[in-house]
Amino acid sequence: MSRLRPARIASVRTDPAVDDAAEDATGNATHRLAVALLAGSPRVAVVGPGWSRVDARGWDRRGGEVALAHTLQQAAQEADFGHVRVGVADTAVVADAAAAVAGESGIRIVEPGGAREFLAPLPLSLLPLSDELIETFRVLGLRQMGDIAARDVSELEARFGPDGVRAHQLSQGIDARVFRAFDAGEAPETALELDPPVDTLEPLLFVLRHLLARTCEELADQGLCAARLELDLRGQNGTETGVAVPARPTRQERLLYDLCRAALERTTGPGGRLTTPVEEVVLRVARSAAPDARQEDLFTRRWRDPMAAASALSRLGVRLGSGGVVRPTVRADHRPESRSVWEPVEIGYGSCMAEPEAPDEAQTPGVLHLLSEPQPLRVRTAEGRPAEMWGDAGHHELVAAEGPERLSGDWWKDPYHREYFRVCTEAGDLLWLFREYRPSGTFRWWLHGWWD
Amino acid sequence: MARVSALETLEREIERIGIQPASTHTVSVVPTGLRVLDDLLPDGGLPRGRVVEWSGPPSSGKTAVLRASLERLRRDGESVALIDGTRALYAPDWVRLVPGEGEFWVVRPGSALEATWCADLLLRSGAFGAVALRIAEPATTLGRGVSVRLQRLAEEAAAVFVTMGPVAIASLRLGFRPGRIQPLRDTGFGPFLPPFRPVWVRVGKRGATEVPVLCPVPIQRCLPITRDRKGPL
Repeated sequence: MSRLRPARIASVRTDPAVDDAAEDATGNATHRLAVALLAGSPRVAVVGPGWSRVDARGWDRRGGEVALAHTLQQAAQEADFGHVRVGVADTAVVADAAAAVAGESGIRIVEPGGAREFLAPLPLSLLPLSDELIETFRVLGLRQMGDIAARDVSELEARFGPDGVRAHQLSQGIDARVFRAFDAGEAPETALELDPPVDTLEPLLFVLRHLLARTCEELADQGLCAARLELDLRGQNGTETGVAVPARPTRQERLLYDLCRAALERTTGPGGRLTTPVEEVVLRVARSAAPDARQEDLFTRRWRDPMAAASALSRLGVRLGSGGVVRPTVRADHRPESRSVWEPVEIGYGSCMAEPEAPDEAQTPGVLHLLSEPQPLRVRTAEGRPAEMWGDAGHHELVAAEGPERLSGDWWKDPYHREYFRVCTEAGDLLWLFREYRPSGTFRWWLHGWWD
Repeated sequence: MARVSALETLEREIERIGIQPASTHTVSVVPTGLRVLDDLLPDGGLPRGRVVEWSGPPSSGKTAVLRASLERLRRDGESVALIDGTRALYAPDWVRLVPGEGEFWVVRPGSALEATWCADLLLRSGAFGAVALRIAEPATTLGRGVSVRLQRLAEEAAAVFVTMGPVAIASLRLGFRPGRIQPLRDTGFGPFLPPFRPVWVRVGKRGATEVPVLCPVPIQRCLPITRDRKGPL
């Protein structure tokens, strides 16, 4: 699908950098800068001390991005920040680099699509990578972003894991970090005293509807959505707090009610009875965000409502609990069960949409399934490789085996030493076995997973 | 006797309703990303708004083909939800589906009943271009009532709905069967050829086609294994 308006981001940094520690309260200067930048765009994200990013879209008819950059500079000057550097580009990483290398004018604009060329001669220190990784790259002779971008990504992945892939993407200007808009207003908060105190769920839900209606009205007035709601139940024995997090910032009363209700139900005992009588209910928007508006294309494909997806996913999350709605991620770890991570992720406004890689039709790899707990096996080996196995699923003769692939590590906390084999049973099952050595020198066989 | 006959008539009627959606618009299809399979499928791809049954023994390659199909949908910017009742999928194998327009989510229910509820909710939202349902083994058959309801929802959402497990009523049934492991033919990669194992896919009663799936066991480096009684393989 084509995006009619590509994402453009302006990165704004004070020059010299703001020292928040010198302010009367930490973050004051940063907060002041972010508020000042609202003059240029309603969507401002705080990145660090004296450093913010601004949604740079919408200036086409107001003088373009140069006018936006001047407006941001002027707003910062009026807030007593002196000189600020502004970089405008397609993604956050490119905009940050542009701000860092902006010349005397303090403004550098990277035209759409020009990220890779712009980044190529710049030093790696401008990328948000760990010092250790940058130093390793330096030792290997990779000093500029172009050096990393020119490498084969699989080569970097093999050597550095996910960090290598990320470095490769960043060096090309691909940046999937979420843009979290800063909220300068007061968080809406509504409260209601209950006299007499209530000790069952039903009257509390009645009150909740009323509070949510007021909260959603306030959010609508401010042009905001709730990204996190907190519900305080105050009683004689203290305060109990329930939390509701929609999958996408919203002010849909019905959805927020369902989520708050689920949060309340988790705190009640049998028969909907509360653990302690509640004297006051406070509903607070702990985190708000601007509505997530995406430009869709009317003609290329059926339009699908992202809010409908968020609503369905939120309901699933409530019902299935933590870990019920997830996305796959990879952790830099050699132990297979630690490498595979299913992570609950909040949906947000993506500052960059990386294109998925094209699948290779000639090579459709098998899909690995890991058992939640490895199953013990008895194995007969021949020439050092498994040839026969007995387990919960019975006896299998193995017609092929490949290995060992030796894995060991974590000697400082939970040492392991394993030899993995990929085997094929006579029935055609493709299994993943490992032999785990104990410190005593003995070993035991385990079934860890299978391919399908 | 009359009651049995009436019941049979009713079942036939339900089957007819299940197979032929109420609306008469042309079935739109999405390619699977595997040309050999698309050539065999009735309209050249997986139909939207229909229940597609995906079945086969373990290691038959059905999940690999499912992933290829979902990956193709993700490349087209469709949002995809995978309901994983097995909770056994290895996350790194699925990371490729995350980037891009639209979204890729995995839902992990605790039971088969919860899994069908999840499918119902996701299809009802109309926000997903494809929903795939994997029920933990031993998979219970999705009953007629559930199948018809899910088909109706898939049709309203114009979504591809794949269920990996037996289903009472399906518009399309794909059966997977593992073939023999063999090395790749002349790929030009040199002596260490990645081996592959063909997967045989049968589409309804239309015959079978062969889909190459990379096998994780490079067989040319591990043979022969000797067996006690039968000698070398």
